Amino acid sequence: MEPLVRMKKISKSFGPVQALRQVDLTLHQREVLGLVGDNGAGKSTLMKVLTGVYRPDEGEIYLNGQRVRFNSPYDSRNAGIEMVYQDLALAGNLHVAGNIFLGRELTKKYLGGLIKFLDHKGMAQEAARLLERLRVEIQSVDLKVETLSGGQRQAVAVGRSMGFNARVVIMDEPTAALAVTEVAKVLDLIRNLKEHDVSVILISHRMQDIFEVSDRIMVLRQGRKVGDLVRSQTTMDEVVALITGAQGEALQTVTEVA
Amino acid sequence: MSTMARTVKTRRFSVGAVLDRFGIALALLLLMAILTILSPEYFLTRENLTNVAARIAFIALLSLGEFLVILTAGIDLSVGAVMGLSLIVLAWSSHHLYEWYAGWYYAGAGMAASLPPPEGPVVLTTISVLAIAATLGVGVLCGLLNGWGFTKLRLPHPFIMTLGMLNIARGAAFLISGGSPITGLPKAIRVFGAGNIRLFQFADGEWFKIPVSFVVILVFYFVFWVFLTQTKTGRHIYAVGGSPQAALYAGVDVDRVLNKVYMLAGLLAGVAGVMYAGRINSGTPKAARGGDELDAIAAVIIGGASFFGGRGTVMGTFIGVLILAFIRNGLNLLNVSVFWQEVAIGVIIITAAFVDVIRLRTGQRE
Ligand SMILES: Nc1ncnc2c1ncn2[C@@H]1O[C@H](COP(=O)(O)OP(=O)(O)OP(=O)(O)O)[C@@H](O)[C@H]1O
Ligand SMILES: [Mg+2]
Repeated sequence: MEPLVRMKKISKSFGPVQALRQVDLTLHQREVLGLVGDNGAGKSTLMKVLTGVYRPDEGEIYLNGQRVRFNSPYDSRNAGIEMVYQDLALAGNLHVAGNIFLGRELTKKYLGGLIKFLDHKGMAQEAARLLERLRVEIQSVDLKVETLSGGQRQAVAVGRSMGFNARVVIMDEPTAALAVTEVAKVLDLIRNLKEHDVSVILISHRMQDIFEVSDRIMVLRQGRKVGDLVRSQTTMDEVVALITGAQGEALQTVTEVA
Repeated sequence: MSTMARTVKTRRFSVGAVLDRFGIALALLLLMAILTILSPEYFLTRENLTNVAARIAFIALLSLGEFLVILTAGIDLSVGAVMGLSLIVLAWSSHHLYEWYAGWYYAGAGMAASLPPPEGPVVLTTISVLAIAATLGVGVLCGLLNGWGFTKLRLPHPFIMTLGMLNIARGAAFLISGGSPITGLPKAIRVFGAGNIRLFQFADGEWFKIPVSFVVILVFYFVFWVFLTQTKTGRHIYAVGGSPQAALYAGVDVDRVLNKVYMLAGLLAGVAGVMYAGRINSGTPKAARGGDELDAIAAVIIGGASFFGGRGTVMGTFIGVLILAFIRNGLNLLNVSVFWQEVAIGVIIITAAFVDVIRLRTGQRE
């Protein structure tokens, strides 16, 4: 079966810095892929290539076997890919509902569709319902995001990625600012997404989180893919060794699966 | 775990919150109260208020455009010069249209009988409409070029592109006009800048009139208030000002939003040109010398918009325009020298910007 996402030989450099070298990535239906690597390994860059924030210097992206070219996150969101960015990407001057619906505003038509005005009430209700479903503790969706705590902001960012029936949800360090109970909630949400046939790519430095929810673990080191392992057939020690370079490469399992 | 997400608004009655929301309106009222006390026999009179209302038209429109740009954390230095160019385009094109039609009318004497004469209302109105369309077109074109310079040429800051445009528009205004005013405009144009609407008659037989230009700016301010608060594009303008990166990641076409904003600023400068020309019944290149954009920036900042982008309201900008106008007017009434007026306005701009800094510092985390 065609994988949901296939990235082929992706390369990307920023001036002299070669952030990605010929990286392949596959993501199957109903799969949680853990993406790990040291700081600067290229994880965020690879995901930003997938969402169209960056255009790759080389390489191709396929969605359900179809070649896609995303020029901006607008395109990738329309194709059903949502991402929680490591740098959060919320507009502090907008309120919670405004951020959740940013770029996806609900509107009401007037004068037979001639003009469309924002549906403030509808967005507030939907946003509140979404956050309630995710059990996010925010007093009001009318609060400006800049007044929220780091954890609350992260919750809003996660909430936004879940609100639009995505096929793929990418989470770049979604738990970095969260307390232990909140982390457990996010991990629950990830399992929940999988049950609803959504595939997830999770980037995290917390190895126990990766091992708790992932089906497969992909390791990047210095812009190269050095590991692709089935979770049940590997150990934390092996993954850490791949991250640090203590072990060379472990890519055999992929070719068997794919 | 209990669910905490509610739609209920949390209301916090704090002095800070009230000042934050109504601070500028209170400042305006305070200013008016002071001026009423200092100039009891003249400040609050019909004549004076009507006078101020008629005078603020073009600066109010420039400020509205500048406000949109500042909302995106940008700046448009060209609005004053573009207004000046618009003024010239308006006067020049209405004169040329008139001459062209008159020449044609008198040349084709045979069929002239069935055509409206050059001085007839139909012809003059048509000329006015065409000239205004050309004027607004020039404003829009300047704005589009500004946006293009920033988003396509990737010039480092809108400051650069709009500084260039300031010079280009000013030069063009002098080139087209040859440096001297083009006087005399059709009535249909003058009405916007100089007309009055009679509302009702007082007991003393005098009419209560409001300037057409004041009604025009009220309409524009209302339309832009709706645009900014009720439409997707308006929401995106705030988002781009708050965090261009967040807007981009959310799938907002940031460059397109910016292009729209600069285009609208250009359009509003064109409208300001129409109002200005109507008021003085001529197109004078002097208007293109610049300086008015600085007043517009001042009004926007006094009105509480943040130079950092993403913060400010249409209402605030309107109040900023009024505050600026009343200070000038009030100090004139009190016979304070123009130079002291400038000093006073400078102090107020700095104070307003400082209030914004404080507000950001207290309102935001981190
Ligand atoms: N916009 C950019 N401009 C220049 N260099 C960049 C840019 N984005 C990333 N890089 C560089 O590319 C490399 C990979 O960065 P990336 O952010 O993808 O790493 P990461 O694996 O996400 O690291 P972390 O775990 O710290 O988030 C780094 O050397 C980084 O400095
Ligand atoms: Mg990263």
